[in-house]
Amino acid sequence: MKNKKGLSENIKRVFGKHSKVENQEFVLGENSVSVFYIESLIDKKLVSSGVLEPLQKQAKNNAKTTENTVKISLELLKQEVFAVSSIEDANSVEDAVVGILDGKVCVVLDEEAILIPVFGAQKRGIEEPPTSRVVKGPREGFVEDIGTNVGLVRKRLKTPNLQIEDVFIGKQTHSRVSLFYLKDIARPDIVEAVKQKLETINIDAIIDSYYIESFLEDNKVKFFRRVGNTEKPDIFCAKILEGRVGLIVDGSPVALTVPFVFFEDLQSSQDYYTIPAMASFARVMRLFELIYAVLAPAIYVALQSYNYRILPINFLITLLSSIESLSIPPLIEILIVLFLFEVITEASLQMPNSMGMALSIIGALALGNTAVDAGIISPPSIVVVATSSVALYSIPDEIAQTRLLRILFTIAGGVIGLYGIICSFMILVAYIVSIKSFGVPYLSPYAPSVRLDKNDGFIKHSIQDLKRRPTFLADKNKIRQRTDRGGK
Amino acid sequence: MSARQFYIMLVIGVFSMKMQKLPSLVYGELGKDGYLLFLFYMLINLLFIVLVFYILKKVKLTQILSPAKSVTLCGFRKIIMIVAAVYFLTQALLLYEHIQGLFANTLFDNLSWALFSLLLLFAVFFLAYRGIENIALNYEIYFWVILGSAVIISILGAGYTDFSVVLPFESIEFGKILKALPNFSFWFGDAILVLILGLKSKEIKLSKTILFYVLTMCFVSFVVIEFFGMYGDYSAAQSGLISVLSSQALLGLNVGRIDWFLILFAEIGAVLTCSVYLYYSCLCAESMFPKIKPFSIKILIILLLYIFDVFYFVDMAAKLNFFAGDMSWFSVAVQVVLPIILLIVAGSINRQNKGINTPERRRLK
Repeated sequence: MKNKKGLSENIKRVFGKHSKVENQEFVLGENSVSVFYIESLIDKKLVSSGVLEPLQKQAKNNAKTTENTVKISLELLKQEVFAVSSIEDANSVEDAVVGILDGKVCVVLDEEAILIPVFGAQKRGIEEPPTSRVVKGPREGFVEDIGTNVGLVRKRLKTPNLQIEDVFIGKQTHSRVSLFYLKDIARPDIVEAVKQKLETINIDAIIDSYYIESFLEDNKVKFFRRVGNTEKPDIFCAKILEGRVGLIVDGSPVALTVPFVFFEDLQSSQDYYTIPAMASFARVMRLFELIYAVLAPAIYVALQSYNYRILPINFLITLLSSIESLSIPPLIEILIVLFLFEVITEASLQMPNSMGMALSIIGALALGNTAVDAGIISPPSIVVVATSSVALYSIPDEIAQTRLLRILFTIAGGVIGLYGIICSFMILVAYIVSIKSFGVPYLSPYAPSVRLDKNDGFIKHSIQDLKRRPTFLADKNKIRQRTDRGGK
Repeated sequence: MSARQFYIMLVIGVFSMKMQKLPSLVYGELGKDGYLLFLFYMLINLLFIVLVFYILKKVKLTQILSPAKSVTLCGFRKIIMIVAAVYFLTQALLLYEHIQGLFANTLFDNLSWALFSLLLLFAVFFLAYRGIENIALNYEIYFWVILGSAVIISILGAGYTDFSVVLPFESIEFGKILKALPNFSFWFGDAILVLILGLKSKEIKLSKTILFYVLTMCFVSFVVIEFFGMYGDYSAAQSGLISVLSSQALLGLNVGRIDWFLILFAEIGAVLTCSVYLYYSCLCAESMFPKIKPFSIKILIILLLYIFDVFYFVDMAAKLNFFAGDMSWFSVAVQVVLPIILLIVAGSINRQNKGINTPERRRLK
């Protein structure tokens, strides 16, 4: 066994004097037992009642029976002394150190060590995640503690087919990354591809799941994400059930799922807890909101600059009267409004909450009154940018991309009108169509078209009609539900 | 490529090619009976589609360019590929010109086409560069938008149409129509489109191909009649069908020209079809020069497209003289001779391959 000589001393040497690792020594007959743990990561009560007190009791008992000195072994301690389950052996100094850093209590007896899980670090309670609130449906959200998150998934997927594989990534953080998939449902090639990608990660630290997300992407240069994320265990489990592979990273409340297709952005967990007609309406609206958010300023500036004959005559008259005092071209005007919006957005994210009100007043006054009165911008352009900015949040996960695209399309529309918008749009769609996430076309089930998968598409069918798992995801077990014999 | 993608590409490809300047050209030459030219060509193309299906079945390969690549007679193959590359490039050029025509009145009176056409050029190149599978996916995405736009425009336009313009039937001059057929061959290479798209899926059926083709051509003929009925004797003076169909503000000025957006959506089909022809032109050129990098050839072809468009076709008359003039005989030759040559090639390959059990053939069995 490696590194076993002077194991206790080796552990002390690795941590040094200032690493805040607690160390207690017990003498059990002929043996000396060292206990190591980090106070802030463990449950003090549990350590006291489950590890320290039994050891003290054992030490006292041994002291009473000095005449018949008992040879203590770790096996004896595991079976008869510690009132804690799932104790692991630490086969090396590295194992012991990683275990201690992970929040376990390391008990070293002579040259052998065991790790006792008594996690008790401060953690946030389970609450509804702020990014995906629902009116109806489960409100539980993932937290930063991976143990809790695994429990939340296990609670929902009570099947032996659920496979959870742990990988530790990060030379400094040793972050636990749990890989979830359902045996016989997830495609083995995708599971393997994810494992391989995880194995190739050689990084100092994994602070959040976004770090893993970056490594799972196929291309370094990416504009659209190929990895899905969610903070809700019900969504995570639903995706696992469709045949996806899930990843939960210790320290992050955001779980990842692959493969990811664009249509997932248009779906919401609430769609499954309401009537199909409403879900369908909401999905179509989300698509229109997305298109509106990206294209509205571009179309506005294109119509104003080149294609004004397309506008309704009365609206054109109103518009002309609003912009007659403007001294700058439409493109520059709309870019100024977009720039101001970006400034306010960034400032509101960085600024302390107490300053939020002041910022709102400055923003409203500067934009709403002063800039209009000064003839820098016109009211219609504020309306267009403001409504498109609200629409951006219809798909919050794509906010970064849509904000950038909105500016690019605005420039195209301002420079060469609708022609520029159409050409740019076609280039964008051609690019999106070519994207694949772990071999799955990004725009499936619409390009390529898969008729059965569209049952959970824009026109959402009832749950009884969702009989099959998505074609590109499921492996052998493609059937999600069967109709009873005798039933229709 | 799936059967669904094949049918969509056929429908949009056929429709896009004819929804531009062709009807006004036809009216200029044939007058009110011009719509019959479309029906005549439909019948001719139906015959060739049957022939193309026979070739593709006979050669037992999923794409017609594959056997051509494997032909050992290099010189002969090169001639076929050169002709095909030039033909596909002219088809791409024709559509490219049409797209320019659509925006010419509204935009490029003030802006430089030579400069701003680079964006369209990049869009077409980007699509072609990504390959035919990618283009097929784009067709799938836009299919309902393009079809819906075209149908809505035609329905709205019907309200302004005097359908009696095609009457009386007794005065139809069939001889004149038949004589004018070759002049418009560039716009009617539909069987060649079927040929290049090939039979990449076993689910592609001749019956369905014929059905979708006939339906598309009937719709096209209806829209052409609508155009004649809307403009009467001024039809020949109208620059582009799909754009001028709504020149009367179909929904009224108070609603605005929402129909213009429908035209733009319908025009997406022309851009996609242009990229299909460009892709096949590049493919043929690449097979001629296997030692040159495919990317370089693609760049060369796209530059040719740009040079022809910007420097050669300086005005509308030059464009129309090129396509509807003597060059139309080149198109006729390709559309008639190429399938026959490929039939012979297919036959010879079949004889050569008899007894050779290639993996591709095994798969098809």
